[in-house]
Amino acid sequence: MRVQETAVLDPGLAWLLIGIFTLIYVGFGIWFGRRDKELDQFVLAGRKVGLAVGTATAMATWVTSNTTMMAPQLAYQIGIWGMIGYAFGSVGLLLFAPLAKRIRTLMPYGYTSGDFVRLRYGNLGWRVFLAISVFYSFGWLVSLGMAGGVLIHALSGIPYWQGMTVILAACVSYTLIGGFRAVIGTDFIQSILILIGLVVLAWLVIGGVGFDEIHVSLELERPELLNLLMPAAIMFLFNNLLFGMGEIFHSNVWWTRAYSFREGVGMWAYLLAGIFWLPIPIVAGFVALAAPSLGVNIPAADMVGPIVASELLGLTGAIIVLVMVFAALASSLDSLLAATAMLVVRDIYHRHFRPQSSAQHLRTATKVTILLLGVITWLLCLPRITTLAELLHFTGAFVASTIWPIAAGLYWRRTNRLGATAAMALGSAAGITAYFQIGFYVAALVGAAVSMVIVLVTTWLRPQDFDWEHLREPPPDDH
Amino acid sequence: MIPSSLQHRSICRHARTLWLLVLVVSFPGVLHAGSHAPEISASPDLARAGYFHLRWALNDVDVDHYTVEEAADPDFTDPAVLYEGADRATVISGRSDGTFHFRVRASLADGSESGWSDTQTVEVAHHPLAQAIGLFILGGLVFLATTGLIVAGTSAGRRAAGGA
Repeated sequence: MRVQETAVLDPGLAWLLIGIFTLIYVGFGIWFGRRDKELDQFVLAGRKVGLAVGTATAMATWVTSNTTMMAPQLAYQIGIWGMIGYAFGSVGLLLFAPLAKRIRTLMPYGYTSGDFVRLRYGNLGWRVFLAISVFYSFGWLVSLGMAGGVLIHALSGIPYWQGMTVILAACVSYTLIGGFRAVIGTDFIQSILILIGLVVLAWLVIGGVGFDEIHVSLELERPELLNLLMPAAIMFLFNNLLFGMGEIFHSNVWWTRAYSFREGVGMWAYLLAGIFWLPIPIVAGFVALAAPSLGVNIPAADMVGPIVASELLGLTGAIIVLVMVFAALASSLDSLLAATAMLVVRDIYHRHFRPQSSAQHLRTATKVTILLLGVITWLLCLPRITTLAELLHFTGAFVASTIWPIAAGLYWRRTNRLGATAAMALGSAAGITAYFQIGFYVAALVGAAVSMVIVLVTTWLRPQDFDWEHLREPPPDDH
Repeated sequence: MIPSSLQHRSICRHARTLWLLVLVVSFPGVLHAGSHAPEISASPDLARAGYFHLRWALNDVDVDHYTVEEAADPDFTDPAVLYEGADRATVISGRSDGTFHFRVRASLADGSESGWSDTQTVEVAHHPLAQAIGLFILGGLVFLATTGLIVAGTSAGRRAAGGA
């Protein structure tokens, strides 16, 4: 439903900007991917990614619609803790740093997170994990597509479905053409655009409104946003931290990077990315708190960031936000498309239906899957069924239940396959129950807690003696 | 006996009434001002986190702008204007516990005004603080335990590598 009647950007100018950046990203896709003819090169950039590009790709991928549009939404809905809690998402990156090193050591020939779960926990656990991971990937893909449509509509009045279609088409195009090297190459450029945009935006907002005015206005009109004991916000803090950990620990987006980084790079790349990412949600969220003092109407919570920026800064603000959020969206969409396609091809198509496939055949199958994922995402985005935060946090219950099976599985020989499988299934069920009984701000927290207890109890009661060598599975034949 | 001029006027009046009736039945849009009011809804109507989404709309007529009013009592004895403009929704957040009443009216492009919508009531009732603190502590414990697992596992891995 179209609920906003005012927009700052002329639709013609918005189309021009979108067109220019689409051409730039597709051009880089062709350039970066021009020599990647083999599977390892197409899906893992030859496993030789260095520290600077590694840090940039991890940071840019984690700066997404979640950060640039959902952090303002959560600040607007649940206040100070909303944006600080969102910044806790960096803990996931920081704690994945040692995991990335361990993954690279234990699985030098690995391709996906599914490879690890299959080898470590067997087929049943692997299939439960795949269901969770594919469901989450679609949740994230849809939230990104929706964010593109919402952003462009909020800034220019261009209908939601048109903006969403163009952004999806652009990202599918260059991921399809250039593969993983195009993804990480564009991530590097996009991370620079995001950082510059955010710094300029924050500077202009603080200069334009001022802390005092924002504080007085919130105190008068929306006092609970400043309340440090607001119950929903308190629950949200650790929920978001655990949600972020669950997203990163299980998702193939982060595992492919761990496999693709040169030996010794993964740990430092994730540590630096986490440190650089930390202030971004706080800056993005702060923008939303200026809305009451500006007297601007917010017709939908996920539109608050773009609306405040364009209201306060006019045309310049609208252009900065469009370029910055387009970069943030594209940097995550491409990564997710590539990583999900790899998970689907490697763990579902190859392992279940075509075990004899050559590496060349898998490369073609990955391209077809990227295209199919784009089409399915587009179909799911068309009916704008919910807000970004509600959609993404629905998946929180599922992903948080994988934290302990993954972490314990990487460090403890004794964690057994039955316990890990039960932890993922029952943790997800408990998290979803909490989502409906209490709210989206506790789903991941409850899912992670139940999963942790199950892993601890089953490891203690029925210890396994896993052989780490079992994880060193050779890569598929390259012919 | 009724004079013929009066008879004529009475027939004309009835004809006009009949014509208006036909018009209204055929084109309901001609009967808008005053009798056709916007619809308003809230999601959720029990807000446990202090925020909720109000939507309103008046279809089939050309609306210039809407006026949304808020009051503490359902009779709107002391209303305040919450929003005036062309948007058809708003997000309200940061409210403390309480009951809030809303209604909306449309100003049409021809200068007339619709009637007020039905009243939409929203109750804000935050979760109990004890429940929130309990879940906060639980989240903290899960986080510390996970961090402990990773730190201990990494140290053990280093020792093992050093030993090898």
